[in-house]
Amino acid sequence: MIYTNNLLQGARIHLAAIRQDDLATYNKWYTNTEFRRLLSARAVRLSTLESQAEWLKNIAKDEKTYYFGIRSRDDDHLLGNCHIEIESQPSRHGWVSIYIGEPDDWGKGYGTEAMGVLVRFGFMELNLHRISLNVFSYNERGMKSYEKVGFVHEGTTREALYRDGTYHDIHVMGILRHNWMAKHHPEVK
Amino acid sequence: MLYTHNLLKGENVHLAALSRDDLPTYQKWFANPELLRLLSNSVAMPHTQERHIKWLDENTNPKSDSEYPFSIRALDDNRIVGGCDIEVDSWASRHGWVGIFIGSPDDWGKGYGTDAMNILIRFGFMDLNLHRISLSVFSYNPRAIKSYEKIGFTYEGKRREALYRDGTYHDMHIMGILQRDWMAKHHPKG
Amino acid sequence: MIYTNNLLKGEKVHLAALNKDDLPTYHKWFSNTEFLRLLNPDVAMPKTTESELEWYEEASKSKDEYVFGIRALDDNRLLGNCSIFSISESSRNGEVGIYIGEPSEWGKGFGSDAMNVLVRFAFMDLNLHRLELHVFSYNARAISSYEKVGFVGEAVLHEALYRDGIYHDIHIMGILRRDWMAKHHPEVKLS
Repeated sequence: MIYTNNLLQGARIHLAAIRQDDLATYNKWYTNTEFRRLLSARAVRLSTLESQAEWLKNIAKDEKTYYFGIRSRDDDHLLGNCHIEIESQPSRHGWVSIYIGEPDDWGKGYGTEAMGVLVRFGFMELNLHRISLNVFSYNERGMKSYEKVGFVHEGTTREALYRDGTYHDIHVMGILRHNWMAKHHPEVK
Repeated sequence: MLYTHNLLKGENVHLAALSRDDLPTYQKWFANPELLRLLSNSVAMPHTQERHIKWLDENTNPKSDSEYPFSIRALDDNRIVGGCDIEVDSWASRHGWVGIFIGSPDDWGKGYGTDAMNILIRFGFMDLNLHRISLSVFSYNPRAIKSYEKIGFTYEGKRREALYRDGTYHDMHIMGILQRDWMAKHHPKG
Repeated sequence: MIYTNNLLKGEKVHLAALNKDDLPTYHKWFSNTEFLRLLNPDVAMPKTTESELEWYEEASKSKDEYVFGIRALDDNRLLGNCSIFSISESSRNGEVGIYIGEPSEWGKGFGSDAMNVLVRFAFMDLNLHRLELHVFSYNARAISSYEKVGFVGEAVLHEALYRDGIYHDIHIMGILRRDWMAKHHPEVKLS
């Protein structure tokens, strides 16, 4: 079977190109420190509309990474963002990252659904063999969501992240194509 | 098993990085219209020095992860005998195109090309993890076609009369080789 | 105690600044596919002299990477290279990379010795909290050398590396400053 018009579509969300007129929304999210500390290991540096515009310009030139906005299918509003960065083409290995920007939209399963579509894109379109991700030890909701998609916990880099006086662990999770295929497309050899 | 020190080594030749020191040799080779007409469908104009320098600049420092250019050097005395490359057409489809030449007519027919192509294909399948490798060859180059068949390429069709040379139109043949066929032959246990 | 003149000195090697005169030696190493395939997950392309010059110019200018040549203490010959990079300022994490370039120098303990010096530099001079490295499952010699230095296996990226028809694992190993300190400087109390 071939995914055609539904390759980037889930039940309630779809993945779309990032738009210039989304930048204000991104900027709002990126000034929320709770959000930033779930997303990135870097120290929080507040963004500006200008730095967002620069980001959009840079990702347009990035040939190794596939960026998507996550949008609601009913009214097309922006829910978040996700990407796959190819680490090695010969090894067909990519790293994913995902977030739902608005705290009101957390816990509704949008992220899990979008990750399902992103992983399918990685295996069915990019022809990856393996997809990896990092998740912080205090992001239990994230970890549970990734497990639902099929990611397996493969190890823990100890105390790799400093936050608020203590060091936290970063978990490494991975999913292999043959496991994903066996579950979603057992008919394909 | 892993190919380690011998990944780029064959029986008579090895593949090496390009070097600007080879510029005079390239210039000599690409002044020969016979070579030009076997290598490419461009008009057989001897290449200028500027063109060679530009080509070497680009190929000694490829900016994309889709281009893998090599020089072919003899194992006995390390002299340069030609060049070859893989250009990845689509990483998602894991498909690449190869090109190869032996520069001096004195070195033709000695098996250098076949040996180098064997290494190049092995590199494409064992290191780049390609699924398929394609090449294009002109109908009037039977020596090359035979060499490619020896390596395991299969004739897959032709672009009819795609090339004009000396009053007639010639066909461009397309040949291809798949990773699983190559593996079955060279690494039946893998 | 303070490391002064011996901060970058081990028992067999010392870490030194990069030197442009060494580029031909690097060029020889980076034409060896066995070496390239132990070094990193990149395609095993022999490096051109131009790309090595570019690497040298960038590495010698870099402000956020610490790149060293590894040289023998006895005759000062170049043995390899090592570096600390991807430093995360707020979490005081860094990644290390190391190699001995010449196959005839492998297995003599130069790498372990250099890694000991590099780790000491990271913890005693850069004040890092944690170091991490990546190593391929088929590089057993390196794994046992890193274990000797005190690195611990923390994660396995299954089938993350394609080589010669099969997928291999990539291991992530890490070392924490307090474990290293407890072993090497039990007299120092970390805050």
